[in-house]
Parts: sequence; structure tokens; C-alpha cells
Amino acid sequence: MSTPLLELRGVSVDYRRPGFQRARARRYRALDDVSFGLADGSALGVVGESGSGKSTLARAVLRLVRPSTGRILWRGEQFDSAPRSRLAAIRRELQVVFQDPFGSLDPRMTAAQSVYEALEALEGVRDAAGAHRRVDAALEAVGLDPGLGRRYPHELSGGQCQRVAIARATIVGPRLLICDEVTSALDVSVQAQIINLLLHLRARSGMALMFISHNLTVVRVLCERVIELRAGRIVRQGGTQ
Amino acid sequence: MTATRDLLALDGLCVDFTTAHGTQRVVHEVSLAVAAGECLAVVGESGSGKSQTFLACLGLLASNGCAVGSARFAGDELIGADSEALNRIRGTRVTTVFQDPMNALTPHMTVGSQLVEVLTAHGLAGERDARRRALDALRRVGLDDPDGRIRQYPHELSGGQRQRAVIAMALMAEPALLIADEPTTALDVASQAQVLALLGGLRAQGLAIVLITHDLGTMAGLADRIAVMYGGRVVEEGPAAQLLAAPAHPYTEALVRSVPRADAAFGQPLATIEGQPPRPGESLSGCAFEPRCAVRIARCRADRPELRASGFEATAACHLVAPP
Amino acid sequence: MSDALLRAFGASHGGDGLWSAAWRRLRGNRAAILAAALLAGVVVAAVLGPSVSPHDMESVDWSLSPLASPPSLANGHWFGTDANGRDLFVRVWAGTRVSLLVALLASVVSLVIGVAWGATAGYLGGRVDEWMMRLVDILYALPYMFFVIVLTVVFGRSLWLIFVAIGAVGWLTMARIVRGEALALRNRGFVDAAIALGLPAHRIIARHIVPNLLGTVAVYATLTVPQLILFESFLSFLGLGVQEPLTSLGRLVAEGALAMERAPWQLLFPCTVLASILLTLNFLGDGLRDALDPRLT
Repeated sequence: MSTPLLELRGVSVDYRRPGFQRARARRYRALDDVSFGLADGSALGVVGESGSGKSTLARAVLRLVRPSTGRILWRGEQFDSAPRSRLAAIRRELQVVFQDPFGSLDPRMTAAQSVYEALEALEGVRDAAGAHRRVDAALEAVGLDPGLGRRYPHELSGGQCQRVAIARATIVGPRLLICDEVTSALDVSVQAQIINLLLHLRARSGMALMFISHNLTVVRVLCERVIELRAGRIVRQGGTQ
Repeated sequence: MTATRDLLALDGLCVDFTTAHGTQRVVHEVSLAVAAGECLAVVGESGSGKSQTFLACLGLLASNGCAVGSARFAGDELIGADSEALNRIRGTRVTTVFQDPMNALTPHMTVGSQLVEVLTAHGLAGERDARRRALDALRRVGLDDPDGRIRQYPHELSGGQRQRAVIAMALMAEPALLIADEPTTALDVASQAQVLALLGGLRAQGLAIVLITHDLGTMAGLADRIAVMYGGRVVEEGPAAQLLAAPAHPYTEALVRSVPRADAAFGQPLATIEGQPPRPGESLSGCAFEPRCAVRIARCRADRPELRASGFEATAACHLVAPP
Repeated sequence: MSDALLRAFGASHGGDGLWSAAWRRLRGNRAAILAAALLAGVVVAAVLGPSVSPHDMESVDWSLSPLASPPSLANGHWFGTDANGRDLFVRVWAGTRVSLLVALLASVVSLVIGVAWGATAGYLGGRVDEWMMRLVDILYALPYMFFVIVLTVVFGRSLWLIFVAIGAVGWLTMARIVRGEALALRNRGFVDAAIALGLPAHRIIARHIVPNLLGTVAVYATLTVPQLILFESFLSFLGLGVQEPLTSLGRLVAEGALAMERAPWQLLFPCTVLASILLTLNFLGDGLRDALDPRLT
């Protein structure tokens, strides 16, 4: 098999619980010796009950939290020790959408501004008119009328906010999109729309997907492979069919 | 359904909110009934008005909200009742369970003291008696180690356990009716199943339940009757089995079709309802569902359909359902 | 530079800039507008008042007996005179000028330092936060008057010294409040999203943390100004603040309090002006908070 796009080897993440207990009691192992690989263009589901470590896994890959042991490799290259310039390039290829549709957008920025910020941070903007076009195109690609870009998050529905978050994550065309419980906070009917949107985006761009959810049915529709976490460890790996 | 049999009877209930943009009506002329020992599921998307309807019954609307119409509990009128009369009913004869258990539980009080408080605050029992009943309630909801749980704080319990504790709190005063607003939405799938089974068991013991949800899939097997709300109105209502097997209203049919099936295939797009539901308070002429309806006819845009009989003890608001 | 780009994008891509939307909301708030008008009136009076009166601040009107005389339209002493026969009308407005100037400048200084300090400490968290806030705690514990006296001895008494002294203390509470809000904001999803975009810490603080704090800052800033006015008057009362012939509202109130029974007008006028400033600032603060929070529709 060729080099996987993303690979975890023996990754563990410890959290320190706040409080006055003894140091050892304070440590809480959220992820325990997790290893798996994700191939370019494939879709991997991550399931488990709440508290099983699924979100911690996403945060570790995104470097929002530092693993205590183990290595995370992107295209075979170790992520942790990558120099700044390499990090920027990796971020262009690796993006995320979070669970809370309203919380993941800055309430003081319009939808279009949030999407624009991603474009500016990941690629840089030289040409204002071109940037406008790309933001509008990104909004259309997720099924939103570009006019909605003017609205603030509190003026949009949950499903619309989530689409904006997806537009923000995909505007620079990442190779891997991590979705952390992105449909859990939405109505069932809206969930279906978002799932279809992700299917469509994958079909169009060949983007890989790491889909974290506690809903097996939805994972089955989106992903060929799934890993199940319990108390931070992988208890099952395999195909979804 | 005769009036004397109904535990909760809503008749022409409307809810208005005064905002900076003027008065908006978010619930239009809702008439529903729940009989003793029956489970009514009220299904609708966010913004359909389903929660506001029952918040209005209990006098729990926000300060800029106002309810018009009638809602009777065991014959007593709830709309416009003073807070003393409402307090006699709320928490004792009609209790509620909301979506987020952390909001229902006070973080700085133990689970036990909150359960006990339900009875002592209403003067229904003394401290010792209340504590005994709290243990019973925790056992009844299937929480392991009730003696231990009683001393724990809410944050020490998992989401599913917390929701059970909230249900236990709702059962303390032996209510006749439990109103559950999205009780399983914030829980993971395993906990969802457990809580739903618990509610089913309670219903079997004679508790009437109003289950408000956006997920048709969760209350199959639990609901006796289903009412579907869209755009602030009831668009279909009837016995659960009949409604799920042969929905009369296009919206209900679309909802039924969009429930993810256990045998869903990889890569197969799910059935969805294109478009967006109307925003709460948006006023429309004609049928609210018309823009998204697959079987709309010319009449639907101008002429709003009234509820009409669509089957045995069932009604639906659609022009395509022939009036008797 | 890219903040300007982002703002320009927001403005040109339609949608209200956040500030214009806030401005519209503020305009609709009648209490706030009334308060702003009244405050503007006080400011105008402070600027123009002394030139309108036939008297000036320092000269003693020997024609009066006793020297402290009640308000009268006839002799041009519209607010009466103080114990030394000086015209109170001119003194009140001159004092208002000083009080407002000191409080405003000191507030701006404490706002800038406090917000920057608190937002950085709250966002970075961990040990940096601990050290930064320990410094705030230490400064809080400092015997403040001692500090001011030392400054006075070293640098002599001057108005600028008052600014520095007051500003140096005013930022502490602002820093604490801002740090608390920043801590809460740090856990919000959009901050994680910004980190995932690779934005550096200073940009996240400037672009996402601080703008979401502004509601709290606005309200607290309008509470700070009256606090600083009172603080300055305390200093003046002790002889460490504004010196003769300059005067401030605080000094006038202190002097008026002494003469309260014999010459109530000496207390009444400065008090009324001071109270008006405090009240209008409170209403403005409320209005600002409502206008800057986009979720209140």
C-alpha cells in the first residue's frame, strides 16, 4: 500500500484534570495507544459513545492538543516536528468542521467574512475581486445562495451555519476533511441534507473524509471503513458493509 | 375523543411574540388532545412551534410571548391562569423533561437534594419520606447504585445518567402527564435507546406522555398518536401506526422517507426534503409546505388547506386529501 | 494589514459592517440618545460656560457681603459664589473640564492596557496567565497612596502625573474582567476553528477575542469613568491632585460639603453636574452594550 495520507502510531493523549488531587490521579488518559491509517481519497468513520475519545482524536490530529506519546504522520512526514512553512502547507490540505453550528462561527463576522478569513489565512489574497468570486463560489458549492453571505450566524439556521462552516473548510480544496459530530446538533431532516452535501463534495473533488459520529447509520452511508473507540482505545476496526 | 376522557386538551391555541419587528405569530390554532395513559408524539423541525405550544400550556413562555386560546388540564384552564394555580399543577401533576439535562439540574446541589426538593417545596412530603421516595424514583428509572447516586453531583454523571435523573425528578410527585421536549437529542445513540425504553416502560405503567421531537425514527413503538407540525400549525394527526404506514400529508410522507434506514448503502444519497422550513413567525398565504412539496397543485399557493378527516380518527391539512 | 483586508471584505461584500449595524441599534435606543444628548450638553457647557459668564475663575468679588453669596441673576453670579467670593458658575464648568479630561484620558489608557493585558492572559492561559495575573494582584495590593506620593515627590505635582497615577491603577480591574471573558471565549468553537486555520495567537486575540469582548468593555468603561472622577477628587482632597488655581468637580464637591449648611448652592451645583455625568454614562453604557451585542434583536 502506498503511503497513507494520515497515519497515527501509538498515539496517547493525557489530560490534566483541574483540582487538588494528587498529580497521578489528576491525569486522565483520553486516548490510549491509537494507531490507524487513512488512505488518500478514502472515508473513515470514527464511532463511539460520548467520552470515548473521538473528539480528542480530532483535536490531536489538528494539533489543538499535544499527544503525550506516539506519532502523527502526514504523507509519511512527522507532523509534530514539522517546521513552520511545512505546517502552513499541511493546514491547506487538512481542515475541520466542528459540531456546534453556531459556536464555530465568530458571531461578529458575517458568513462571507468567515469563509474569506480561511482563504486569506491559508492561501493569501492578492486580488480582491477574485476573492469575492471564490467566496461566492464556495457558498454556492455548499448549496447556499451567495446573498446569505451577508448574514451573521444568529440570522442563519443551524443547517445553514454548518454549510458555511463546510464552505470555510473546503474553499482551499483540502485533501482531508475532518468532521467532528457535524450533524449531531441538527434536525434529522437537515442532517440528511448535510450528509448528501458531503457525499457530493467527495465525489466532486476526491477529498478524503474522517467522519466522527455516534450514529452508525450515517457513518455507513459516508464511509467504507470504521474504527470504534471505547475509553480511548480502538476496540474494532473494519469495513462498514 | 370525548372531552371528559382527555387529560390535556388544546383548543385553538395560538402563541404570539412581540419583537422589534412587530408581533409575530409562531403557533397558529393548534388543537390537540392527550388522553390519560396515552403517548402523543409531536413531530416537527426546528421552528415549527412544537416546543412553544407546550411551553405556553405551562406558562413558561418568554416575557415577550403571549398565548391565546384554550389549554385545559383535567378540565382546568391553563392559559391565563395565575402563577399560584399554575404552580399547583407544574412539577406535581404535569412535569417536564427538556433537552439538556445540565440545564435542568442545579450544578451545586446533589442529585438527591434536588429530587427531595420537588416534594418538600410543594409541601407534599417530609424530608425523610421524600428521601425514601427519591431512592425509589432512581430505581424506577434504572440508575444503578441509587444510594451512591443520591449523593453525587450532576457533573459526576454521564449524559444518559443525567437525563434519567431528570426523569426521576419529574416522577417524584407521581404526575399524570409528562411533557418531554427532545429528551434524547443531546444523548449518544446508546443512551438514547435506554431513555426511550424507560419512557416506554413508564407509559406502560399508566403515565401519559407528550413527546416532542424532530426525529420520527426515535418514537416508533413509543407513541400511540402522532401530531406533525409545520410552520406553526398541525398538518397531520392520527394513530401512530396508521400515520407511519400510510401518511396522508406530503410533509409527513417526506419525513417518513428521510428516516435513515439501518440498511443504508455506502455512497447512496439519503432521501431529503429540499429547501428550508419557514422561519418562525413568517406569514405565508396558502399552504406553508407548498414551496417544498413534490405533489403541489395550483391551488396550494393561494389557498391554505384546513384539517380534514384522512382516516380513522385521523386528520390532515392538504388539498389532496379529499374531504368527506 | 490583513485585518484591514478582512474589514474591507466585509464592507464591500455587503452586509452591514458591524459598527454601522451597532450604530443603527444605538440610534434606536431612546434612553441612550437622551443620555448622550445630555452628556453632550454638559460637555458644551464645560467648554463654553466660562466664556459666557461676565466673571472669571479666580478673581474675588469684593462687592459681596458676605463673600459667599447665593445664586442671583442680578450680579451675574448665576451659581452664586464660594467661600472666597469667587464665581461658582465659572468654577463649576472649569472644574468639569478638568474632571472630564482626566477621567477620559485615564480611562482610555486603562482601557487599552487592561484589554490588551487581560485578553492576552486569558487567551494564552496556563503559566503565562498565572504570571500576568499575579502581577495584577501585586499591583492591586500595593498601598496606592504611597505610590502616588512617591510619584509626586519624584516628579513634582502636575496634571500629567495625575493621568499616569490614575491610569496606572484603573487598568487593573479592567484586566481582570477582560481576562475572565477571554478565558470563556477561548473555549468557543470559532477560536478552535481559527487555530485550525493556522492563525497566530496575536491575530486570534485581535480579531476574534477582543471584538467579542467589546460589550463588556463598553459597559465597564462607562463605569470606570465615574470611578476615576471620584478617585481624582480623592487625590485632590488630599492635596495630591489638582492644585489651585485649577479646580475639579471633586474639589468643588469637597469644598461644598464643608459649607453645606450655610451655603447649600456650593454643593448643589457641582453635585448636580457630577450626578448628571454619572447617570448619562450609565445609560450610555447600557445602550452601548445592547448595540454591540449582535444577538439582541
